[in-house]
Amino acid sequence: MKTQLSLKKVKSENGNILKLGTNNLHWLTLRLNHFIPWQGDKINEAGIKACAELALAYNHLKQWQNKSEGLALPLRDILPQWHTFLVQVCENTAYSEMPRKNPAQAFNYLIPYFFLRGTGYRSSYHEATLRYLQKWGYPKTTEVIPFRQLDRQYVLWKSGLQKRLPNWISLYANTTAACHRSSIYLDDASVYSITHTLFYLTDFGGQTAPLSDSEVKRLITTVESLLVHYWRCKNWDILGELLINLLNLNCKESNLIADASRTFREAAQEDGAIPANHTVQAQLASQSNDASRPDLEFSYCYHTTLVSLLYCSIALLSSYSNE
Amino acid sequence: MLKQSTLKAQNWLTRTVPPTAEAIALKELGLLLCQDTNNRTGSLLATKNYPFCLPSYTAFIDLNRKDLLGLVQVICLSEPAAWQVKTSEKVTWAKIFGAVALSYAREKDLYCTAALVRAAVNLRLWHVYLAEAIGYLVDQQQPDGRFGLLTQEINSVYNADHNDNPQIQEAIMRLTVEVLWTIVEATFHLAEGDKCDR
Repeated sequence: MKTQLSLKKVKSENGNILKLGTNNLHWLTLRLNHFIPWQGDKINEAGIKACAELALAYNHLKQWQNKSEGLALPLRDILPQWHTFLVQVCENTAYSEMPRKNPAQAFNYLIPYFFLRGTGYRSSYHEATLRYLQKWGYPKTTEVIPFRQLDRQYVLWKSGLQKRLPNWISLYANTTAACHRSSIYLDDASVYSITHTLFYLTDFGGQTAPLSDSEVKRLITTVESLLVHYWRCKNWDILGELLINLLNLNCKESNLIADASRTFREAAQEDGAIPANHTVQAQLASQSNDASRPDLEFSYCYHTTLVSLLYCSIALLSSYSNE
Repeated sequence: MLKQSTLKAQNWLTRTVPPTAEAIALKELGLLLCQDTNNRTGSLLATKNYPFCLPSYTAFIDLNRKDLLGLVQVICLSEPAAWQVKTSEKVTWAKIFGAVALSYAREKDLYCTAALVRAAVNLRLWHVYLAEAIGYLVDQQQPDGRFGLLTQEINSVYNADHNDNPQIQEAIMRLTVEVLWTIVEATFHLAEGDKCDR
């Protein structure tokens, strides 16, 4: 058995990855209304998070579309729909006023705007809000844990508000990714901290991790051991994030990673949705005709489906770059 | 570190009065393993010739606990020289055995972690994950020499003194001998620097 994959196998894998990424895109696009961060007249936290994550994916894909025009994923048809949706959210009067009403939470409310801003969109109302927030000392006044600090700097940099590159090394120094010495005692929250830290440090494949070779090697050692754990536990959400990390750390492709990638892809439903884990997968299968299924399916699947879309786009991009 | 751990386990085994026939046999096996280590004979570890077949990487990772234990226990009793595979494949298997052992360690499953490490050591596989797993096993030794998180869990579940319960005593004995066996195998078969990351 060869450790390195043959070119033929890579190309056949790319076909499968392209198919999954395309299905992910269609599934998410058909459900854009589920990403609205309010229900009736109430804004909810889960909705804010989902919309922010969609905006992040939009920002990433938009960049990729510009870099690799005409390649593979049907971004030219779909991204304008996402753009229209995100602009509608940002321009909703009640939503756009929230950052001024609650400056402590303003950063989270503004994430969709930050990512849209990074692709060239501007709103005079939000720009004025940003000036007010700066005057009032936000977001700095709201203290956050180290990886969230990195998250914040990353978003501000992507928005174009912060021109200079974040000081990656100093932001990285206090995160779980930098401090851990064993993967055994990392709980799920710590693992999410590691995966997100690596997303930001590598700009989802946009840059090489600004770390020494020995540090990258240490991180790959941790990520690979976690990959096997979450694969065994059938936690598709974290497995997908770890696969992205390995791609972005330029980890040498191996049969182990290829098998993990195939297992992840096989967790997808025919329509492109990927449930977060085996438990919810079984729950969805048992509720196929339930009236509440669409909402349940969205809440169980949207995050992992976004993760899958990012994984597919990064895998395809990296494969085209190598060619 | 591994020798100290073996001595502590030997002291506990010597002091413990086994409550069942199975526990008596386990105690004897444990003491024989300790003597084997002290005398450096390795005689207990030498008579093996069980055939085994490893599945694909994916199938191995997907095995449920029972099937995995069944497979690794056969591997523990097999002749390593009979396992003919390429070096590159051995490197991958070393990583997978280590990573799956760490995965069970994350779930505080000492029994499975110990069995996986022992099987890997018997196949003469080595990886940094296996050193980490052995370090984890050694860290779970109780001050009196037995192994396991088991005692703590039993106390919290039964809110009673486990010394009075023969089944619990037997389970502690079994776990201790299982981990001890792994440590003895590691002591014999691994290079000094590879044994443990502590």
